Amino acid sequence: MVKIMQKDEFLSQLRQAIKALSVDEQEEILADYDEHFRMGIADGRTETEIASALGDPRSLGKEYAAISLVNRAEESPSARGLGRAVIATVGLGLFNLFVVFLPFLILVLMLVLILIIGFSLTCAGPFLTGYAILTLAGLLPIELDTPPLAALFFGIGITSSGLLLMALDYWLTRICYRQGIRYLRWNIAVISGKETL
Amino acid sequence: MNAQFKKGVLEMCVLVLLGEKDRYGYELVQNISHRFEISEGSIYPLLRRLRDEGSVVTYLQESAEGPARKYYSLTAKGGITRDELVAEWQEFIIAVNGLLDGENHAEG
Repeated sequence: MVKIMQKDEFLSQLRQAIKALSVDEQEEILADYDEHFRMGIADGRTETEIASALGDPRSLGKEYAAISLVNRAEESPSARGLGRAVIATVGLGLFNLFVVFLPFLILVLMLVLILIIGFSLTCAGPFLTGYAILTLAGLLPIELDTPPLAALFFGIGITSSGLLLMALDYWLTRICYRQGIRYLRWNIAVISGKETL
Repeated sequence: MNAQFKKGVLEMCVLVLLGEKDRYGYELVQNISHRFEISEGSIYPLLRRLRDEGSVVTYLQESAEGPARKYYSLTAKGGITRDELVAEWQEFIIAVNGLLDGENHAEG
């Protein structure tokens, strides 16, 4: 894995790995490593020595990119932004497939499922209520086992629980988003990129 | 040394070194890599994160030898984080050393 590399190649590989970032961020990051090379050379080391001590520029670049995407997902929340941040974090290590991607997938499926159930209940209620009203008004023959009046209130109840479930899901999604961002940040800082140390 | 050990303590080391005085990146890297082996490049993402969190601030200062250097300075917030990390670390090593020395083993 250890490759002989000069300053130019190190910087160009790093630049390649962080090209998703804003130009300002890119320049700032590259300037840090440029300064490091200059100081190292003044210290009597060769470019190759400095580059190999710095580590793999692509891994470093991936870490910067992941942090930046997580920051962006926090500043302007969106499903797409979070998805990109998650994928970038997963890209930092195979282990993250299990501690980031899988839990993320399960959580998303769960939230979508709750939404679907809530939506279905909300839609089902009015049908039952409508049916009960038509029955009560004598427009439809009584075919329900339940008395029409009970069915009417039951329908209202179902709709209310559906709406409540959707509100709960919305609230849960917001909490999960916030905590998810915190977790990604912690993951990048503590777990990921171990290979680069 | 095991990489997992190092990632955790690197942040504490950087904050402690910056608590002594303002330093530039290369100086920080040299100070740490003289003591234990690290991948030198990993300090810079860490410094960037510490700056984003408000634990350190940076400024550019001309040097006698050439172009300006980027200096890192510990903030009050960074000082609090440092104290917490150092306290946790000391508690931790006392506990682990106690275990290694066989203290309190009988009590299990």
